[in-house]
Amino acid sequence: MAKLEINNVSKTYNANKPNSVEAVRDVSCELDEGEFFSVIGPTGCGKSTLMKMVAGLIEPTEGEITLDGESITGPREDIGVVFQEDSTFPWRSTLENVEFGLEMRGVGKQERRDRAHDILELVGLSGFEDNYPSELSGGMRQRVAIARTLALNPDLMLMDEPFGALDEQTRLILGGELLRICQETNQTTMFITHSITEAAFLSDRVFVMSARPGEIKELVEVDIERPRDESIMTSDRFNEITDDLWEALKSEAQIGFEQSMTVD
Amino acid sequence: MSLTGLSSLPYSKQIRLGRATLLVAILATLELVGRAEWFDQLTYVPLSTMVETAYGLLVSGELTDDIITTIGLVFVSFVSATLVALVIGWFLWRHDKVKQVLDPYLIVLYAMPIFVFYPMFIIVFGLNVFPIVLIAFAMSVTIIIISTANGLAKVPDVLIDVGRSMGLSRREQFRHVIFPAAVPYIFTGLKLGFVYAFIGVIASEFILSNSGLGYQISWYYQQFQTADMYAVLLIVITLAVVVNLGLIRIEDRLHRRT
Amino acid sequence: MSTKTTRTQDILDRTPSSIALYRLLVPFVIVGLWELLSRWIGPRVLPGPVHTFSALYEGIQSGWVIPNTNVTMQAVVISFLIATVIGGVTGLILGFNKPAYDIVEPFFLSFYSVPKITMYPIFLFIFGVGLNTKVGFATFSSFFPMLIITMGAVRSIDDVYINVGKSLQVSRYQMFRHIVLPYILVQLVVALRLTFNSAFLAVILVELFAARSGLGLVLQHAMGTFNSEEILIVVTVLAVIAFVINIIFYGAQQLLEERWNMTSDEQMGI
Repeated sequence: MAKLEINNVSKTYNANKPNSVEAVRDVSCELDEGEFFSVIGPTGCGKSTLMKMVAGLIEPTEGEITLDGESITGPREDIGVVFQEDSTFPWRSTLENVEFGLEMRGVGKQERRDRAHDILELVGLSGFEDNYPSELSGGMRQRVAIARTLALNPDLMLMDEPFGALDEQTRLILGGELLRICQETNQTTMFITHSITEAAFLSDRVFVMSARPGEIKELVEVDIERPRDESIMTSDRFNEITDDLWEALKSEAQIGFEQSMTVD
Repeated sequence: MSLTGLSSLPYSKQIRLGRATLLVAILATLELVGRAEWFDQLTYVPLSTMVETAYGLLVSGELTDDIITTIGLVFVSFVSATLVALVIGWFLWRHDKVKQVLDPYLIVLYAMPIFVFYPMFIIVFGLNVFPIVLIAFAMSVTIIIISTANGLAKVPDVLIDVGRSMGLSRREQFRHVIFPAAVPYIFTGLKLGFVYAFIGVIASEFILSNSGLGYQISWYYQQFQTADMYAVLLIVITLAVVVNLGLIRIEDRLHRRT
Repeated sequence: MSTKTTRTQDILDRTPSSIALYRLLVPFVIVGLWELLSRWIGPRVLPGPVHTFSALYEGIQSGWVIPNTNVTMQAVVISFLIATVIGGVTGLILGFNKPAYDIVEPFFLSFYSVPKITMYPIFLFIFGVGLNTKVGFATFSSFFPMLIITMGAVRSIDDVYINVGKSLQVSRYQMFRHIVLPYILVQLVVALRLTFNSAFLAVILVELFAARSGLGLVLQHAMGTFNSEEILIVVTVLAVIAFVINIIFYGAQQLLEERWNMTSDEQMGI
């Protein structure tokens, strides 16, 4: 049985009202344990909506999502989310931010401190424990957010364009770090992005979504062996895959662009 | 209208409907509390009586001088406060060291009960309009200074760079880039400054003076002319609310532009 | 460029402590200006600082300053506390309910601009002269800043923080205690300060208009007898109290803002 199953899920905002918007239409897919799975699509295609449904933050209008065979009806302890926006708490130091989830779950002080230190080491933030987010760069803040989620050891990690607000170099570096972390921890991850390179570099499979209403347009297998590192980006196979992804995405991106010009 | 019909309305219309309902409920309460005769005629009168009395006072011309006095004083205090504050605010923006030194004092001054100086002003200047203007001026000026200095400082560097890259002179830069960019912030200060000037004038008149709308409220109170007192109070509140709503509207429009 | 001016300029630029030093000088400058003003207008009409402070000392000795200050401050503190609780709770409730917030906000903002002292006679009609009336009115008029800022602060919370909390399945209490409260804390400190100041002003106005004791009543008497010395004593006492309390709140606000690099809401102009 697959780890995560998304069965015929649709989402319409303001259903049955004149201003209703169909964001996601009849999406089905499966994620296996330990798999890194990306969803890529043009701006406004409903990929964030899909992720929020998996996170249990919003409910699908139709269809069902199950984790380990159990239907997702609301936020769950075994699903961790990393958001696109800066979501570090400015009133907590790096260490306190990473401890946040554990603290909320009543984990004892010493235990959560040890765990937080381990995770900070993993994401390369050792030495910044006592800094407040305002003293960190955008890339470092996003590492803190990732660490905060990883600290809870989630069965499934959802990442909504976590590097979307960062510059290209930081993106590449953090992508490499994420690849390493996920390979080390065998973390099952669903990753939302609009970057083709990022998707191909990180994922086992990439799911291309159409312009709104978002449907499955294509499923691309990234059959490059793991463990990977940055060197694969120059390989022929990698280029073929990114070409395939771009081919699938091109027409949708055009439609998405036109939608963004006409809507609001 | 049925509930389902209501929820199919766009959100902004629902809100407008809600506001109208609330307004009607408030007005109805003001009326019904008076009609229910929980209070005697010396304590409270129904809204309709207030409106009727206010209309009578306005038509008879009894209040004309007071209205002119009050509005005139608010105008003089607010305009002079604005002129002085814009210059000081601009100066503080140009001289950041001075601004840093004075910042906490400005914030504290803004919050100080400046009104306690009113008795002193009366002793120094006598019981005339000057102490009133001075109080209203002092209550209004600080917030305009703060918002001008901060508003100018908040103009994004990139806009200034755009101006510089186009070879604008300092003066053109200020007139065409910096000032327009700061206007929304400054306006918030002007709005609050106006409110405080209004409050300053009315409160001074109310506490001690010999004319104006604030004075009339206190005078009718002392004469036990309750209906007249409520009538003038209603005029003052309406004036404050209408002007303020107008200012909020302009403010929203300015902020939307940024 | 002359080296002399640049060096002093450099010292000014480099050391932020020089700013602190200049800040400490400001009160002395104010007292100095007061002295000059007093000499210009004439010490009979406007007594100077030295005279006022010695008169203040005598006033404390002869026993009228402290009891009257107590009466005034007691009313201020009680109204401040009640207004904080009522305004804060109402603000939280309205802030969490977007439609309710959108409906009531213009009403409260408009009412904020009404000179509330003119409504004091209504309180007098209903409750008569006394401590309860004073406190009731001061609570009523200081309730608005607390409410307006609190509900605005709650509405300003970034959705992403709420979503982090939800995705971590925090309880309602935890959401409030660890996400909402820290987020709005800076703005709450601003709200507390403005609420205190409103209560303070309201009590003084009320005492000036009709009261049986308190510093405002002393002011009123002194005004009637043209006793400028007594007026200046009261003004000094009130100014010092307001100043100290505002500096404390403002210091707390600055501390939080600098540490977390968060800013307060701009709605009330601060």
